[in-house]
Amino acid sequence: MLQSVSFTLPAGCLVSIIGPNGAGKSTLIKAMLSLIPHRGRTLFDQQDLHAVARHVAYVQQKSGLDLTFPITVCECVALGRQADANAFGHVRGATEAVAQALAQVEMADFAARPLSQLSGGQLQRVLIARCLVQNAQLLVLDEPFVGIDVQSEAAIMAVLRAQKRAGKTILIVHHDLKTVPDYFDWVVMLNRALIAAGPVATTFTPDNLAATYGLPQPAEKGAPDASAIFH
Amino acid sequence: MLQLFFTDLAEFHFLQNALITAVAVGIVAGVIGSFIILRGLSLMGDAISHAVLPGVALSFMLHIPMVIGAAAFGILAATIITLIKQFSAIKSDTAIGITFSTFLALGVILIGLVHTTTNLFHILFGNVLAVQDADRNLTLGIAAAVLVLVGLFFKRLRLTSFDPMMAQAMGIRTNFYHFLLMIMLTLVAVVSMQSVGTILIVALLITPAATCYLFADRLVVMVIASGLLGGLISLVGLVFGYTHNIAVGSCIVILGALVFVVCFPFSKKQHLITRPLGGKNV
Repeated sequence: MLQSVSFTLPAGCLVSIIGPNGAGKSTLIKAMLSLIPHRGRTLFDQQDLHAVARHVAYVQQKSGLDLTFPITVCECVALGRQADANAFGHVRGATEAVAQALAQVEMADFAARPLSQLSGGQLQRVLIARCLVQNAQLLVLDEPFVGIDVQSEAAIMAVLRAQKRAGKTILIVHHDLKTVPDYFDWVVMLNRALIAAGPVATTFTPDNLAATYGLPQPAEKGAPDASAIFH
Repeated sequence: MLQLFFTDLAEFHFLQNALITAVAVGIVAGVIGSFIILRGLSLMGDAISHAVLPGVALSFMLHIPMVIGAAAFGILAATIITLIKQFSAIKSDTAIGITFSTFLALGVILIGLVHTTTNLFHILFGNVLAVQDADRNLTLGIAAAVLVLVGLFFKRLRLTSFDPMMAQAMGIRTNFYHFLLMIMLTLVAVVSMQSVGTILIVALLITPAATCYLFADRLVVMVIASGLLGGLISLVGLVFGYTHNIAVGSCIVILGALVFVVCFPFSKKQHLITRPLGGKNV
């Protein structure tokens, strides 16, 4: 159960959601996207988020996908265009958009490959390309950097920063605390409830980290420094 | 064997009806079966095929077309299972087990009360050689309607089968496509009753699809191949069953299983042939 969570985020920034295992990070984004029963509201540009769902691109954890599903990279990326399709799923201009998005994530040569033949990093790039094709205003990614190579992480971050510069808001459930100051502008810290939310510079502090991860406060004599969890 | 079959085929109308019905059912079951196995709904296919039985009996009692009663009960079963799953702590397979066994028991009782020429044994195990012109036409009509619906909604069915969470997040009503699939599954179950019977429908639904799943890299290829394989095993099963005077429905099912067993070691997804002895898939 996750409770007492309320925060506001500025548009056009990279936001990380951090917290220990079982803190409710994935639960929070699923509730925000109305994927699970919940109480409360999520507003996007003063409108209910569910009402503007077309502008939301969501990538769940890789482990939640059936990677043996018979689908090619190209077909998978084209799914992003379904946001603009009619009830039958027909939409124009998908081919060009898919080629462009695959080029952006440096996966153009893999267009005809089955999804099952990709490495973890390649798969994540394809899922990011799917978000690009959707041209959503809000990107919500659940642990996109878990189990991927350094090269793919760098490529994905470059694309996400470009998206941020284009005014998109990107919300990422993240585990690697070392990269938080470098990757993100804002941070939401959770542990079954909201601990803190705000700009990384003022919020990502040892005190808040200690509270989030259940460590003794840094000021306590003889207590291990909360910054130890960086290493 | 083949000569006898084709001589009789030219001569007997009932055999022509059987051939058309069996192949049509095989094709449409293969197509729908692809979505059923990819969504992990194989047990749901089994449940619905059993759940239509009381609907069939009620249709006889009320003198309404069988398809209406059967479809109503099929949808009712799918709805009950979905509701139990969504709004209780009961797991999906448990909900399916409770629902389908109850519906099947109710169906057996009701069929026993109905004085009809339709034998319970034929409903449970199929009798494609007894298919009348009206049944054949109904099968063709339903098969055509289901194939058209799958063609029309293919992209949405692919999306909601592969990543329903993403679809829901972007505002697509995934429940609509779930129930569309359940309606099509029910209709296929109704027409399959004549070919392989209620008990064995699930085999016709999932075996050709599972075989094609072993090799397909694209859903469209899997769906078409599964439909063709379903049609082919129905045809061969009919020929074999007819010429050897054994139950056609069971022949079709066993033939499908044999094809699966033969194909399994050669699957690209299993790597049984190519991987080193004792090695694991990576």
